[in-house]
Amino acid sequence: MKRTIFALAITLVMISCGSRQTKKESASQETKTELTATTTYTLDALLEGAAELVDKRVTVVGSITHTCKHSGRRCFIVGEDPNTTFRVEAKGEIGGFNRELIGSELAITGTLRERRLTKEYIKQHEEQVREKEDGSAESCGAEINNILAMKEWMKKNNKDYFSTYYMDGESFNVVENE
Amino acid sequence: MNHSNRLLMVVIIFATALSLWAVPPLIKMAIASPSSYPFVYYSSLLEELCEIDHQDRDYPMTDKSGRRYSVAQFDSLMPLFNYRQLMSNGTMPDSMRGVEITPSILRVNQVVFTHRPTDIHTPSLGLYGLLESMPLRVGLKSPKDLFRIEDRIEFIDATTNKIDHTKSDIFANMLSKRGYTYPSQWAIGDANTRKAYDEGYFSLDANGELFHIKMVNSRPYIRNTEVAKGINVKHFAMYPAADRRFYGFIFSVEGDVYILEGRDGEYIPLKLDLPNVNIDIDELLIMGNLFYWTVTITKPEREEYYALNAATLDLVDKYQIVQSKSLWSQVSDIILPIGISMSSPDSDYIYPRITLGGVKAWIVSSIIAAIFLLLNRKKGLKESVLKSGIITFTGIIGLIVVKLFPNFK
Repeated sequence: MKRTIFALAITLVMISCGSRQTKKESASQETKTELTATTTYTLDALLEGAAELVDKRVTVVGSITHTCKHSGRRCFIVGEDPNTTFRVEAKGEIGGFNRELIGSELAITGTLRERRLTKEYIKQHEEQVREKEDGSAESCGAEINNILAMKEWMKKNNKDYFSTYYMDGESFNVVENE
Repeated sequence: MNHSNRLLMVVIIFATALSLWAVPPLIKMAIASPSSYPFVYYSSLLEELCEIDHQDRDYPMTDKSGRRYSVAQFDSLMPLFNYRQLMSNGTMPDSMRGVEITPSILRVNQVVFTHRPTDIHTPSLGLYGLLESMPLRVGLKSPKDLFRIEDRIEFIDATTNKIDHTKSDIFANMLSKRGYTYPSQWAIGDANTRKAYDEGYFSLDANGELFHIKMVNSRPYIRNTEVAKGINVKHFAMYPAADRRFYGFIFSVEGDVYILEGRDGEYIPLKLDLPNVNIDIDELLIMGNLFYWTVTITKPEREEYYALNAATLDLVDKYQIVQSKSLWSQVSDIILPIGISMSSPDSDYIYPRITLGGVKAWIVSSIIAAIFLLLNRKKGLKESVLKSGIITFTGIIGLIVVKLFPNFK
Protein backbone atom coordinates (compact mmCIF):
# COMPACT_ATOMS: atom_id res chain seq x y z
CA MET A 1 0.00 0.00 0.00
CA LYS A 2 2.84 2.34 1.06
CA ARG A 3 4.63 1.53 -2.17
CA THR A 4 1.52 2.33 -4.21
CA ILE A 5 1.10 5.72 -2.49
CA PHE A 6 4.81 6.48 -3.00
CA ALA A 7 4.62 5.59 -6.74
CA LEU A 8 1.47 7.70 -7.11
CA ALA A 9 3.20 10.65 -5.44
CA ILE A 10 6.21 10.39 -7.79
CA THR A 11 3.90 10.14 -10.80
CA LEU A 12 2.01 13.26 -9.66
CA VAL A 13 5.28 15.19 -9.17
CA MET A 14 6.47 14.14 -12.62
CA ILE A 15 3.19 15.14 -14.25
CA SER A 16 3.27 18.47 -12.43
CA CYS A 17 6.92 19.11 -13.53
CA GLY A 18 6.05 18.08 -17.06
CA SER A 19 3.08 20.41 -17.26
CA ARG A 20 5.15 23.28 -15.80
CA GLN A 21 7.77 22.67 -18.45
CA THR A 22 5.11 22.58 -21.15
CA LYS A 23 3.75 25.90 -19.84
CA LYS A 24 7.25 27.37 -19.88
CA GLU A 25 7.82 26.12 -23.43
CA SER A 26 4.54 27.52 -24.65
CA ALA A 27 5.26 30.83 -22.93
CA SER A 28 8.64 31.01 -24.58
CA GLN A 29 7.02 30.11 -27.89
CA GLU A 30 4.55 32.96 -27.44
CA THR A 31 7.34 35.39 -26.67
CA LYS A 32 9.18 34.17 -29.74
CA THR A 33 6.09 34.63 -31.87
CA GLU A 34 5.60 38.08 -30.43
CA LEU A 35 9.23 38.93 -31.18
CA THR A 36 9.19 37.72 -34.73
CA ALA A 37 5.77 38.74 -35.98
CA THR A 38 5.81 42.41 -36.85
CA THR A 39 4.08 44.27 -39.61
CA THR A 40 6.42 45.31 -42.40
CA TYR A 41 6.11 48.81 -43.81
CA THR A 42 7.87 50.72 -46.49
CA LEU A 43 9.35 53.89 -45.04
CA ASP A 44 6.75 56.07 -46.72
CA ALA A 45 3.90 53.94 -45.37
CA LEU A 46 5.42 53.89 -41.90
CA LEU A 47 5.75 57.65 -41.75
CA GLU A 48 2.22 58.09 -43.00
CA GLY A 49 0.77 56.14 -40.06
CA ALA A 50 3.59 56.92 -37.63
CA ALA A 51 1.43 58.65 -35.02
CA GLU A 52 -0.49 55.41 -34.38
CA LEU A 53 2.62 53.21 -34.37
CA VAL A 54 4.69 55.06 -31.78
CA ASP A 55 6.28 52.68 -29.24
CA LYS A 56 5.15 49.67 -31.31
CA ARG A 57 7.45 47.04 -32.81
CA VAL A 58 7.46 47.29 -36.57
CA THR A 59 9.66 46.35 -39.50
CA VAL A 60 10.62 49.05 -41.95
CA VAL A 61 12.23 48.58 -45.34
CA GLY A 62 14.45 51.29 -46.74
CA SER A 63 17.78 51.97 -48.38
CA ILE A 64 20.72 53.08 -46.30
CA THR A 65 22.10 56.47 -47.29
CA HIS A 66 24.45 57.03 -44.39
CA THR A 67 25.96 55.19 -41.45
CA CYS A 68 27.68 56.85 -38.55
CA LYS A 69 31.30 56.68 -39.75
CA HIS A 70 33.04 56.07 -36.46
CA SER A 71 30.75 54.09 -34.21
CA GLY A 72 28.22 52.73 -36.72
CA ARG A 73 25.62 53.12 -33.96
CA ARG A 74 23.23 55.02 -36.21
CA CYS A 75 22.10 54.89 -39.80
CA PHE A 76 19.76 56.81 -42.05
CA ILE A 77 17.41 55.22 -44.54
CA VAL A 78 15.25 56.56 -47.32
CA GLY A 79 12.17 55.21 -49.04
CA GLU A 80 10.60 56.28 -52.34
CA ASP A 81 11.11 59.94 -51.51
CA PRO A 82 14.88 60.55 -51.38
CA ASN A 83 14.35 63.81 -49.48
CA THR A 84 12.80 62.10 -46.47
CA THR A 85 15.37 60.36 -44.29
CA PHE A 86 14.69 58.26 -41.24
CA ARG A 87 17.11 57.65 -38.39
CA VAL A 88 17.64 54.19 -36.93
CA GLU A 89 19.59 53.72 -33.73
CA ALA A 90 21.55 50.50 -33.17
CA LYS A 91 19.95 48.80 -30.19
CA GLY A 92 19.03 45.23 -29.28
CA GLU A 93 21.02 42.69 -31.27
CA ILE A 94 22.52 45.38 -33.48
CA GLY A 95 26.06 46.29 -32.50
CA GLY A 96 26.24 48.75 -35.37
CA PHE A 97 25.71 49.38 -39.06
CA ASN A 98 28.87 48.79 -41.06
CA ARG A 99 29.72 51.39 -43.66
CA GLU A 100 29.57 48.89 -46.53
CA LEU A 101 25.79 48.75 -46.05
CA ILE A 102 25.38 52.16 -47.68
CA GLY A 103 23.25 51.64 -50.76
CA SER A 104 21.83 48.33 -49.50
CA GLU A 105 18.15 47.80 -48.84
CA LEU A 106 17.50 46.73 -45.27
CA ALA A 107 14.49 45.35 -43.41
CA ILE A 108 14.97 46.69 -39.90
CA THR A 109 12.85 45.56 -36.98
CA GLY A 110 12.60 47.79 -33.96
CA THR A 111 10.45 50.11 -31.94
CA LEU A 112 9.19 53.32 -33.49
CA ARG A 113 9.92 56.34 -31.32
CA GLU A 114 8.63 59.85 -31.41
CA ARG A 115 10.44 63.02 -30.53
CA ARG A 116 8.23 66.01 -29.94
CA LEU A 117 9.58 69.46 -30.70
CA THR A 118 7.52 71.81 -28.58
CA LYS A 119 6.15 75.13 -29.81
CA GLU A 120 8.49 76.95 -27.41
CA TYR A 121 11.51 75.06 -28.64
CA ILE A 122 10.67 75.78 -32.27
CA LYS A 123 10.15 79.46 -31.46
CA GLN A 124 13.49 79.67 -29.66
CA HIS A 125 15.21 77.93 -32.54
CA GLU A 126 13.62 80.31 -35.04
CA GLU A 127 14.92 83.28 -33.08
CA GLN A 128 18.42 81.84 -33.06
CA VAL A 129 18.34 81.18 -36.81
CA ARG A 130 17.00 84.67 -37.56
CA GLU A 131 19.76 86.21 -35.40
CA LYS A 132 22.43 84.48 -37.51
CA GLU A 133 20.71 85.35 -40.79
CA ASP A 134 22.72 87.86 -42.81
CA GLY A 135 21.13 87.16 -46.14
CA SER A 136 24.14 85.27 -47.44
CA ALA A 137 23.74 81.77 -46.12
CA GLU A 138 21.47 79.51 -48.11
CA SER A 139 21.31 77.04 -45.24
CA CYS A 140 19.63 79.62 -43.04
CA GLY A 141 16.95 80.06 -45.68
CA ALA A 142 16.41 76.31 -45.74
CA GLU A 143 16.24 76.17 -41.96
CA ILE A 144 13.70 78.97 -41.82
CA ASN A 145 11.64 77.17 -44.45
CA ASN A 146 11.75 74.03 -42.30
CA ILE A 147 10.63 75.96 -39.25
CA LEU A 148 7.80 77.58 -41.20
CA ALA A 149 6.70 74.17 -42.48
CA MET A 150 6.63 72.85 -38.89
CA LYS A 151 4.56 75.82 -37.74
CA GLU A 152 2.21 75.38 -40.66
CA TRP A 153 1.75 71.69 -39.77
CA MET A 154 1.07 72.49 -36.10
CA LYS A 155 -1.52 75.09 -37.09
CA LYS A 156 -3.18 72.77 -39.58
CA ASN A 157 -3.32 69.84 -37.15
CA ASN A 158 -4.12 71.98 -34.15
CA LYS A 159 -1.09 70.74 -32.18
CA ASP A 160 1.37 72.56 -29.97
CA TYR A 161 4.26 70.30 -30.96
CA PHE A 162 5.88 68.91 -34.08
CA SER A 163 6.66 65.21 -34.17
CA THR A 164 9.77 63.65 -35.59
CA TYR A 165 10.14 59.87 -35.72
CA TYR A 166 13.06 57.50 -35.42
CA MET A 167 13.54 53.84 -34.62
CA ASP A 168 15.36 51.93 -31.92
CA GLY A 169 16.48 49.09 -34.17
CA GLU A 170 16.71 45.60 -32.72
CA SER A 171 17.70 43.48 -35.70
CA PHE A 172 18.02 43.81 -39.43
CA ASN A 173 18.34 41.79 -42.60
CA VAL A 174 19.75 42.83 -45.92
CA VAL A 175 17.07 42.54 -48.59
CA GLU A 176 18.75 40.75 -51.44
CA ASN A 177 17.23 41.04 -54.88
CA GLU A 178 18.34 37.95 -56.76
CA MET B 1 89.83 6.94 -55.17
CA ASN B 2 90.33 4.93 -52.01
CA HIS B 3 88.11 4.99 -48.93
CA SER B 4 90.19 7.51 -46.94
CA ASN B 5 90.32 9.85 -49.93
CA ARG B 6 86.53 9.62 -50.31
CA LEU B 7 86.15 10.51 -46.66
CA LEU B 8 88.60 13.38 -47.05
CA MET B 9 86.62 14.66 -50.03
CA VAL B 10 83.45 14.75 -47.93
CA VAL B 11 85.37 16.59 -45.23
CA ILE B 12 86.71 19.08 -47.80
CA ILE B 13 83.25 19.73 -49.26
CA PHE B 14 81.85 20.21 -45.78
CA ALA B 15 84.77 22.45 -44.74
CA THR B 16 84.38 24.53 -47.93
CA ALA B 17 80.65 24.98 -47.37
CA LEU B 18 81.24 25.85 -43.74
CA SER B 19 83.94 28.36 -44.67
CA LEU B 20 81.73 29.92 -47.36
CA TRP B 21 79.06 30.42 -44.70
CA ALA B 22 81.28 31.49 -41.77
CA VAL B 23 84.22 33.40 -43.22
CA PRO B 24 82.44 36.20 -45.20
CA PRO B 25 80.54 37.48 -42.12
CA LEU B 26 83.85 37.61 -40.22
CA ILE B 27 85.49 39.64 -42.98
CA LYS B 28 82.38 41.83 -43.16
CA MET B 29 82.50 42.40 -39.40
CA ALA B 30 86.14 43.42 -39.66
CA ILE B 31 85.80 45.93 -42.49
CA ALA B 32 82.16 47.05 -42.50
CA SER B 33 81.39 50.67 -41.76
CA PRO B 34 77.91 51.84 -40.76
CA SER B 35 75.91 53.43 -43.53
CA SER B 36 72.42 54.86 -43.51
CA TYR B 37 70.18 57.07 -45.56
CA PRO B 38 68.94 60.42 -44.31
CA PHE B 39 65.28 60.89 -43.40
CA VAL B 40 63.44 62.68 -46.21
CA TYR B 41 60.08 64.45 -45.90
CA TYR B 42 58.08 66.74 -48.15
CA SER B 43 57.82 70.34 -47.01
CA SER B 44 54.33 71.62 -47.74
CA LEU B 45 55.63 75.20 -47.63
CA LEU B 46 58.79 74.87 -49.73
CA GLU B 47 56.92 72.35 -51.87
CA GLU B 48 59.90 70.03 -52.24
CA LEU B 49 61.43 66.99 -50.60
CA CYS B 50 64.04 67.85 -47.97
CA GLU B 51 66.57 65.84 -46.02
CA ILE B 52 66.34 65.86 -42.23
CA ASP B 53 69.32 65.00 -40.08
CA HIS B 54 68.24 65.02 -36.43
CA GLN B 55 71.85 64.61 -35.32
CA ASP B 56 72.66 68.06 -36.66
CA ARG B 57 71.32 70.15 -33.81
CA ASP B 58 71.87 73.51 -35.51
CA TYR B 59 70.85 72.91 -39.11
CA PRO B 60 68.78 69.72 -39.28
CA MET B 61 67.08 70.40 -42.61
CA THR B 62 68.60 70.61 -46.09
CA ASP B 63 66.65 71.21 -49.28
CA LYS B 64 67.39 69.63 -52.64
CA SER B 65 69.65 72.50 -53.69
CA GLY B 66 71.77 72.03 -50.56
CA ARG B 67 70.47 75.06 -48.63
CA ARG B 68 70.49 74.38 -44.91
CA TYR B 69 67.84 75.49 -42.40
CA SER B 70 67.99 76.12 -38.68
CA VAL B 71 65.82 74.28 -36.16
CA ALA B 72 63.27 77.13 -36.00
CA GLN B 73 63.11 77.29 -39.80
CA PHE B 74 62.74 73.51 -39.97
CA ASP B 75 59.78 73.66 -37.54
CA SER B 76 58.07 76.38 -39.57
CA LEU B 77 58.78 74.93 -43.01
CA MET B 78 57.39 71.52 -42.04
CA PRO B 79 54.42 72.55 -39.87
CA LEU B 80 52.52 69.31 -40.46
CA PHE B 81 55.52 67.25 -39.36
CA ASN B 82 56.39 69.46 -36.38
CA TYR B 83 52.89 70.46 -35.32
CA ARG B 84 53.34 69.35 -31.71
CA GLN B 85 56.37 71.62 -31.37
CA LEU B 86 54.56 74.52 -33.07
CA MET B 87 51.50 73.99 -30.85
CA SER B 88 53.74 74.06 -27.80
CA ASN B 89 55.39 77.27 -29.06
CA GLY B 90 51.99 78.75 -29.87
CA THR B 91 53.08 79.34 -33.45
CA MET B 92 50.97 76.75 -35.26
CA PRO B 93 48.96 78.36 -38.08
CA ASP B 94 45.19 77.99 -37.62
CA SER B 95 44.75 77.21 -41.30
CA MET B 96 46.77 76.20 -44.33
CA ARG B 97 45.72 76.37 -47.97
CA GLY B 98 42.30 77.49 -46.77
CA VAL B 99 41.86 74.39 -44.60
CA GLU B 100 41.34 74.62 -40.87
CA ILE B 101 44.18 73.10 -38.86
CA THR B 102 43.59 71.56 -35.46
CA PRO B 103 45.56 68.81 -33.72
CA SER B 104 42.66 66.38 -34.13
CA ILE B 105 42.33 67.11 -37.87
CA LEU B 106 46.06 66.57 -38.27
CA ARG B 107 46.01 63.35 -36.27
CA VAL B 108 43.06 61.93 -38.18
CA ASN B 109 44.79 62.57 -41.51
CA GLN B 110 48.12 61.09 -40.49
CA VAL B 111 49.28 57.96 -42.26
CA VAL B 112 52.29 55.94 -41.16
CA PHE B 113 52.73 52.65 -42.98
CA THR B 114 55.75 50.43 -43.37
CA HIS B 115 56.30 47.35 -45.47
CA ARG B 116 59.31 45.09 -45.10
CA PRO B 117 59.96 42.00 -47.22
CA THR B 118 59.93 39.99 -44.00
CA ASP B 119 56.24 40.91 -43.64
CA ILE B 120 55.44 38.48 -46.43
CA HIS B 121 58.34 36.03 -46.13
CA THR B 122 57.46 34.81 -42.70
CA PRO B 123 55.93 31.58 -41.39
CA SER B 124 52.17 31.64 -40.94
CA LEU B 125 50.08 29.20 -38.92
CA GLY B 126 47.12 29.68 -41.23
CA LEU B 127 44.84 30.26 -38.25
CA TYR B 128 43.20 33.62 -37.84
CA GLY B 129 41.05 35.33 -35.24
CA LEU B 130 37.91 36.98 -36.58
CA LEU B 131 36.71 39.78 -34.33
CA GLU B 132 33.16 41.04 -34.05
CA SER B 133 33.41 44.31 -36.00
CA MET B 134 30.34 45.86 -34.42
CA PRO B 135 30.46 44.75 -30.79
CA LEU B 136 27.50 45.52 -28.54
CA ARG B 137 29.83 46.70 -25.82
CA VAL B 138 32.60 49.26 -26.25
CA GLY B 139 35.94 47.83 -27.34
CA LEU B 140 36.97 44.92 -29.49
CA LYS B 141 37.25 41.50 -27.89
CA SER B 142 39.42 38.54 -28.84
CA PRO B 143 37.29 35.74 -30.27
CA LYS B 144 37.06 32.35 -28.58
CA ASP B 145 37.68 30.61 -31.86
CA LEU B 146 40.07 30.76 -34.78
CA PHE B 147 39.35 30.14 -38.41
CA ARG B 148 41.28 28.56 -41.24
CA ILE B 149 40.50 28.98 -44.89
CA GLU B 150 41.98 26.57 -47.39
CA ASP B 151 39.57 24.24 -49.16
CA ARG B 152 36.77 25.48 -46.93
CA ILE B 153 36.38 27.97 -44.09
CA GLU B 154 36.35 26.35 -40.66
CA PHE B 155 36.05 27.86 -37.22
CA ILE B 156 37.84 25.98 -34.47
CA ASP B 157 37.09 26.45 -30.79
CA ALA B 158 40.36 27.54 -29.21
CA THR B 159 39.77 25.70 -25.94
CA THR B 160 38.42 22.36 -27.20
CA ASN B 161 40.08 22.31 -30.66
CA LYS B 162 36.72 21.18 -32.07
CA ILE B 163 35.25 22.58 -35.25
CA ASP B 164 32.23 24.79 -34.75
CA HIS B 165 30.17 23.30 -37.57
CA THR B 166 27.25 25.72 -37.22
CA LYS B 167 29.39 28.86 -37.54
CA SER B 168 31.58 27.25 -40.20
CA ASP B 169 28.51 26.36 -42.29
CA ILE B 170 27.06 29.87 -42.00
CA PHE B 171 30.30 31.45 -43.22
CA ALA B 172 30.95 28.75 -45.83
CA ASN B 173 27.45 29.17 -47.27
CA MET B 174 27.84 32.93 -47.45
CA LEU B 175 31.25 32.60 -49.11
CA SER B 176 29.88 30.30 -51.79
CA LYS B 177 26.84 32.56 -52.22
CA ARG B 178 29.20 35.46 -52.87
CA GLY B 179 31.18 33.42 -55.40
CA TYR B 180 34.32 32.62 -53.43
CA THR B 181 36.35 29.90 -55.15
CA TYR B 182 38.53 27.52 -53.16
CA PRO B 183 41.32 26.84 -52.48
CA SER B 184 42.04 30.14 -50.83
CA GLN B 185 45.37 31.76 -51.68
CA TRP B 186 45.63 33.81 -48.51
CA ALA B 187 43.74 35.78 -45.90
CA ILE B 188 45.20 38.93 -44.41
CA GLY B 189 43.80 40.88 -41.50
CA ASP B 190 44.63 42.30 -38.13
CA ALA B 191 43.26 40.43 -35.12
CA ASN B 192 44.74 42.97 -32.73
CA THR B 193 42.06 44.27 -30.36
CA ARG B 194 43.97 47.42 -29.45
CA LYS B 195 42.76 49.42 -32.41
CA ALA B 196 39.93 51.84 -32.98
CA TYR B 197 37.87 49.59 -35.25
CA ASP B 198 37.97 46.28 -37.04
CA GLU B 199 37.66 45.51 -40.73
CA GLY B 200 38.12 41.75 -40.61
CA TYR B 201 40.11 40.12 -43.37
CA PHE B 202 40.79 40.44 -47.06
CA SER B 203 41.20 37.12 -48.80
CA LEU B 204 42.34 36.16 -52.28
CA ASP B 205 40.43 33.22 -53.73
CA ALA B 206 41.66 30.68 -56.26
CA ASN B 207 40.59 32.93 -59.16
CA GLY B 208 42.52 35.92 -57.86
CA GLU B 209 39.37 37.72 -56.66
CA LEU B 210 39.81 39.80 -53.52
CA PHE B 211 37.06 39.29 -50.94
CA HIS B 212 36.29 41.23 -47.80
CA ILE B 213 35.38 38.93 -44.91
CA LYS B 214 34.23 40.19 -41.56
CA MET B 215 31.77 39.40 -38.81
CA VAL B 216 29.14 42.05 -38.20
CA ASN B 217 26.47 41.58 -35.52
CA SER B 218 27.54 37.92 -35.21
CA ARG B 219 26.80 37.33 -38.89
CA PRO B 220 29.12 37.01 -41.86
CA TYR B 221 29.69 40.06 -44.01
CA ILE B 222 31.34 38.88 -47.21
CA ARG B 223 31.70 40.83 -50.40
CA ASN B 224 33.77 40.59 -53.55
CA THR B 225 35.67 43.87 -53.78
CA GLU B 226 35.69 43.47 -57.59
CA VAL B 227 39.19 44.99 -57.73
CA ALA B 228 40.47 41.91 -59.59
CA LYS B 229 38.76 43.29 -62.69
CA GLY B 230 41.62 45.77 -63.04
CA ILE B 231 44.33 44.59 -60.67
CA ASN B 232 46.34 41.40 -60.55
CA VAL B 233 46.46 41.27 -56.75
CA LYS B 234 49.61 39.89 -55.15
CA HIS B 235 49.46 41.09 -51.56
CA PHE B 236 47.28 43.15 -49.27
CA ALA B 237 48.29 45.03 -46.13
CA MET B 238 45.54 46.05 -43.73
CA TYR B 239 45.82 49.62 -42.46
CA PRO B 240 43.55 51.07 -39.75
CA ALA B 241 43.32 54.60 -41.19
CA ALA B 242 42.18 57.02 -38.51
CA ASP B 243 39.83 58.78 -40.94
CA ARG B 244 38.59 55.41 -42.28
CA ARG B 245 39.30 56.60 -45.78
CA PHE B 246 40.75 53.28 -46.87
CA TYR B 247 41.04 49.67 -45.76
CA GLY B 248 44.66 49.07 -46.65
CA PHE B 249 47.24 48.76 -49.40
CA ILE B 250 47.01 46.49 -52.43
CA PHE B 251 50.23 45.39 -54.10
CA SER B 252 49.87 44.07 -57.63
CA VAL B 253 51.93 41.38 -59.33
CA GLU B 254 53.26 44.08 -61.66
CA GLY B 255 54.56 46.14 -58.72
CA ASP B 256 51.86 48.81 -58.56
CA VAL B 257 50.66 50.05 -55.18
CA TYR B 258 47.05 51.05 -54.49
CA ILE B 259 44.97 52.04 -51.51
CA LEU B 260 41.55 50.40 -51.28
CA GLU B 261 39.09 53.13 -50.46
CA GLY B 262 35.61 52.61 -49.06
CA ARG B 263 33.20 55.05 -50.66
CA ASP B 264 29.43 54.80 -50.20
CA GLY B 265 29.56 51.07 -49.74
CA GLU B 266 31.84 50.50 -52.74
CA TYR B 267 35.46 49.37 -52.86
CA ILE B 268 37.50 51.80 -54.95
CA PRO B 269 41.21 51.18 -55.60
CA LEU B 270 43.29 54.35 -56.00
CA LYS B 271 46.77 53.96 -57.47
CA LEU B 272 49.76 55.63 -55.87
CA ASP B 273 51.70 57.46 -58.57
CA LEU B 274 54.90 55.51 -57.97
CA PRO B 275 57.26 53.39 -60.07
CA ASN B 276 57.04 49.65 -59.59
CA VAL B 277 57.83 48.33 -56.13
CA ASN B 278 59.22 44.84 -55.66
CA ILE B 279 57.76 43.94 -52.28
CA ASP B 280 59.93 40.81 -52.11
CA ILE B 281 63.08 42.92 -51.69
CA ASP B 282 62.08 46.60 -51.39
CA GLU B 283 61.12 48.30 -48.15
CA LEU B 284 58.38 50.89 -48.16
CA LEU B 285 57.68 53.72 -45.74
CA ILE B 286 54.68 55.99 -46.21
CA MET B 287 54.28 59.06 -44.02
CA GLY B 288 51.21 61.04 -44.89
CA ASN B 289 49.66 64.22 -43.61
CA LEU B 290 46.64 66.33 -44.48
CA PHE B 291 48.12 67.52 -47.80
CA TYR B 292 50.96 65.24 -48.89
CA TRP B 293 52.23 61.71 -48.53
CA THR B 294 55.99 61.12 -48.50
CA VAL B 295 56.87 57.66 -49.79
CA THR B 296 60.33 56.17 -49.24
CA ILE B 297 61.29 53.07 -51.22
CA THR B 298 64.48 51.43 -50.02
CA LYS B 299 66.07 49.25 -52.66
CA PRO B 300 69.28 47.25 -52.20
CA GLU B 301 71.38 49.88 -53.96
CA ARG B 302 69.49 53.16 -53.45
CA GLU B 303 66.68 54.93 -51.69
CA GLU B 304 63.94 56.67 -53.65
CA TYR B 305 61.63 59.35 -52.30
CA TYR B 306 58.29 60.44 -53.74
CA ALA B 307 55.85 63.10 -52.62
CA LEU B 308 52.21 62.51 -53.52
CA ASN B 309 49.16 64.70 -53.28
CA ALA B 310 47.22 63.24 -50.33
CA ALA B 311 43.83 63.51 -52.05
CA THR B 312 44.66 62.26 -55.55
CA LEU B 313 47.91 60.38 -54.80
CA ASP B 314 49.45 62.04 -57.88
CA LEU B 315 53.20 62.58 -57.90
CA VAL B 316 54.34 66.09 -56.96
CA ASP B 317 58.07 65.62 -56.35
CA LYS B 318 60.73 62.92 -56.39
CA TYR B 319 64.30 62.46 -55.24
CA GLN B 320 66.79 59.65 -54.82
CA ILE B 321 70.01 58.87 -53.03
CA VAL B 322 72.33 56.22 -54.44
CA GLN B 323 74.40 54.52 -51.79
CA SER B 324 78.12 54.46 -52.58
CA LYS B 325 79.44 50.91 -52.41
CA SER B 326 80.72 49.93 -49.00
CA LEU B 327 84.20 48.48 -48.58
CA TRP B 328 82.65 45.09 -47.84
CA SER B 329 80.64 45.23 -51.06
CA GLN B 330 83.72 46.09 -53.06
CA VAL B 331 85.76 43.31 -51.43
CA SER B 332 83.03 40.66 -51.73
CA ASP B 333 82.53 41.58 -55.40
CA ILE B 334 86.14 40.47 -55.95
CA ILE B 335 86.75 37.57 -53.60
CA LEU B 336 83.41 35.73 -53.44
CA PRO B 337 82.27 33.95 -56.64
CA ILE B 338 79.81 32.05 -54.51
CA GLY B 339 78.39 32.49 -51.04
CA ILE B 340 76.29 30.48 -48.64
CA SER B 341 74.05 31.98 -46.02
CA MET B 342 71.37 30.55 -43.78
CA SER B 343 69.40 33.75 -43.30
CA SER B 344 68.36 36.72 -45.36
CA PRO B 345 67.41 40.27 -44.37
CA ASP B 346 64.34 39.87 -46.60
CA SER B 347 63.02 36.71 -45.00
CA ASP B 348 62.32 35.14 -41.62
CA TYR B 349 62.92 31.65 -43.01
CA ILE B 350 66.17 29.87 -42.13
CA TYR B 351 67.58 27.63 -44.84
CA PRO B 352 70.79 27.45 -46.90
CA ARG B 353 70.87 30.02 -49.68
CA ILE B 354 73.52 29.99 -52.40
CA THR B 355 74.33 33.37 -53.90
CA LEU B 356 76.39 33.79 -57.01
CA GLY B 357 78.96 36.59 -57.15
CA GLY B 358 79.59 38.95 -60.01
CA VAL B 359 81.80 38.58 -63.07
CA LYS B 360 84.77 40.17 -61.28
CA ALA B 361 84.76 37.50 -58.58
CA TRP B 362 84.61 34.71 -61.16
CA ILE B 363 87.52 36.23 -63.13
CA VAL B 364 89.61 36.60 -59.96
CA SER B 365 88.87 33.05 -58.78
CA SER B 366 89.67 31.69 -62.26
CA ILE B 367 93.02 33.51 -62.25
CA ILE B 368 93.84 32.14 -58.76
CA ALA B 369 92.86 28.64 -59.92
CA ALA B 370 95.01 28.97 -63.06
CA ILE B 371 98.02 30.10 -61.02
CA PHE B 372 97.44 27.22 -58.59
CA LEU B 373 97.31 24.77 -61.47
CA LEU B 374 100.47 26.21 -62.95
CA LEU B 375 102.40 25.98 -59.69
CA ASN B 376 101.16 22.51 -58.78
CA ARG B 377 101.10 20.78 -62.16
CA LYS B 378 104.11 18.62 -61.24
CA LYS B 379 102.31 17.17 -58.17
CA GLY B 380 99.87 15.32 -60.39
CA LEU B 381 97.66 16.78 -63.09
CA LYS B 382 94.44 15.08 -61.99
CA GLU B 383 94.83 16.22 -58.38
CA SER B 384 95.77 19.79 -59.40
CA VAL B 385 92.81 20.09 -61.82
CA LEU B 386 90.41 18.93 -59.13
CA LYS B 387 91.81 21.39 -56.60
CA SER B 388 91.89 24.27 -59.06
CA GLY B 389 88.26 23.42 -59.92
CA ILE B 390 87.35 23.86 -56.25
CA ILE B 391 89.21 27.18 -56.21
CA THR B 392 87.43 28.37 -59.39
CA PHE B 393 84.04 27.85 -57.78
CA THR B 394 84.86 29.05 -54.30
CA GLY B 395 87.65 31.62 -54.75
CA ILE B 396 90.05 32.45 -51.97
CA ILE B 397 88.03 30.43 -49.47
CA GLY B 398 88.52 27.34 -51.63
CA LEU B 399 92.23 28.06 -51.81
CA ILE B 400 92.44 28.19 -48.00
CA VAL B 401 90.57 24.87 -47.70
CA VAL B 402 92.77 23.20 -50.33
CA LYS B 403 95.86 24.42 -48.48
CA LEU B 404 94.45 23.10 -45.20
CA PHE B 405 94.16 19.61 -46.69
CA PRO B 406 97.38 19.16 -48.72
CA ASN B 407 97.16 15.35 -48.62
CA PHE B 408 93.94 15.16 -50.53
CA LYS B 409 94.53 13.36 -53.85
